[in-house]
Amino acid sequence: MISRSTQNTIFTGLTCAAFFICTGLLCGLIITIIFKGLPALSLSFLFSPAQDFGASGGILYQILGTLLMVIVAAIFVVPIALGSAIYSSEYLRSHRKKRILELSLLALNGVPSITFGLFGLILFVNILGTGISWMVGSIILAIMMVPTTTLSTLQSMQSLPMTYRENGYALGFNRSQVIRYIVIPQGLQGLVTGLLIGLARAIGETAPIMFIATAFSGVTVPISVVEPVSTLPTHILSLTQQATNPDALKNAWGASLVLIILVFIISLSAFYARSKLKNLSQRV
Amino acid sequence: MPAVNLKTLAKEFNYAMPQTSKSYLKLVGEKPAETAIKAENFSAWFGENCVLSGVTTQIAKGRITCIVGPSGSGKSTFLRSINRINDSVPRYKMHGSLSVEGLDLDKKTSSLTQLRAQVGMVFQKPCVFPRSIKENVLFGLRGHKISRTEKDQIVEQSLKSAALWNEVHLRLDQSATTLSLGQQQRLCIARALAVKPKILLLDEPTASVDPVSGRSIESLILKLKHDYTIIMVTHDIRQTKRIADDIMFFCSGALIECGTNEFMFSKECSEQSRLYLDEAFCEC
Ligand SMILES: Nc1ncnc2c1ncn2[C@@H]1O[C@H](COP(=O)(O)OP(=O)(O)OP(=O)(O)O)[C@@H](O)[C@H]1O
Ligand SMILES: [Mg+2]
Repeated sequence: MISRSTQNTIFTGLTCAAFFICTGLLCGLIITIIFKGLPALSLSFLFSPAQDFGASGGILYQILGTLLMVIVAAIFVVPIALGSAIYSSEYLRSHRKKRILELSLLALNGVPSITFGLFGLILFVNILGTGISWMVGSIILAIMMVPTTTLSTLQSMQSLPMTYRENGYALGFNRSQVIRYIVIPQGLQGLVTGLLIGLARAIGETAPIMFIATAFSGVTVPISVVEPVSTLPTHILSLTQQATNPDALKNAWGASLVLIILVFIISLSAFYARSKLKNLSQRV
Repeated sequence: MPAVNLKTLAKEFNYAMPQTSKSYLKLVGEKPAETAIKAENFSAWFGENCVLSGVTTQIAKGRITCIVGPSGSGKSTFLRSINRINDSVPRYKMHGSLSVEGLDLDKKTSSLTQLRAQVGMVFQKPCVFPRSIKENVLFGLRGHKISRTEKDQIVEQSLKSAALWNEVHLRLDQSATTLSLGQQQRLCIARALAVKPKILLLDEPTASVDPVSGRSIESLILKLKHDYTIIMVTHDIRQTKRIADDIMFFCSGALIECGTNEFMFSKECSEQSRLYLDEAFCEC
């Protein structure tokens, strides 16, 4: 038998090792990207258009394209997520239906992103004939963001104790007023957190938008909704395909660093939003 | 016949009305001029559990009516039925008529909001919204168009009549959650008063506060009696004796007896009520 204190030491050691593997991987990754990407980074890199398929010039239109697509996607997501969360938490009475909604959202969340890309290609580009369009990309990204956003909104709405709603009714509110004044402020925190987590994921997606929304070179700011854009992830993909060219590779690392910084900013805002928009229930 | 049999009765008749009220309705003393609330054969169920059976009574205007009875006897359920807060509870069913200020919902002549506008309610556990004290007082008026000076007036008036103004008038913009529990309870009263109801329902308003705050809430209730009809649930027999004009005694979902304070504490009342009111103990 191993003595109890040895057991304790082994257990502590194992958890410690797990912790260091986890953080070590993350740090290693970030440090590599910073080291490799930093030489490429400069103001002119950020603010000038790509030339020569990205091997020279900067990534201005890639940054703009990425931001445009995810911001529009977020605008699509908010009403859908908020609406379905309100419907499920305030109007659906049967637990079975709530469960079905939750399970289907979880299932949607588990669908591989390339499948969404194919779906978009078939439905929008082939059947509806939109052509390669950044708007279609935004719609597909929005579909991918809906599950996390809805689930987290729903969770924070359901964590609101019934007494708050009852106090609202007692003040003479009808149901829509209770939802507007009491339930939505509570759900906001979950909405923002879920949305930002979804955004952080969507901003790095390549597969779903590759065939339907982006072009690899020669795009600037779109003037209509049925034009392609270029985005950071697809740009990185095209740069790494020219890996024999050291300039292209350097810019690929630079673009990766910018992408990681964007993800980081979004994640930090998620944390900030979570702490700012505290639960009604937590403050009591 | 004990009330337990009423429940089985209700079950046997497949939730049909239990036999007419077994409560011996005794309104002693001078007949009150006007009734605020009139219940006729009112019964309520949660699922298959009959929690109120055949309550028939009248509650007089401009008086303090205390509802007493052992825990689980349906006091809160009766109170919550008056302004229909229970309607949003799943599996709640009711039967019989309950009219408030002449408004009877079952006759479909009046709306829920109309009814709730007449009735303010303060719950057992103070429930303030995580906003400023001022916003809390005005919470029930959201959606009304009111000028700023009018708002300030309402805040001052409501807080003064809830005996809270002196304590908080310098910190109206601070979060209401920083108030003590007793202050929060009075804030809830102020919030209910701000919407200018005619009837005030109080569910154990002094249960979650210390004796001193309890006393100040008590004297507040006595003051409010001149402008409002007050119906209040309490477990404190001495408090009942101090402030009640009328007393209703519930046991196992039945209204056993109701009458004036003097009557209920005299020898004339029924055995059950006397046992409960004398020793706060009853076997029914
Ligand atoms: N939402 C609900 N769902 C199911 N049963 C309920 C619900 N609310 C109350 N009940 C049941 O109804 C009965 C009466 O409850 P009620 O809250 O009216 O009692 P009470 O007299 O107010 O008791 P207390 O003095 O402890 O507050 C209890 O048996 C309780 O379990
Ligand atoms: Mg109660």
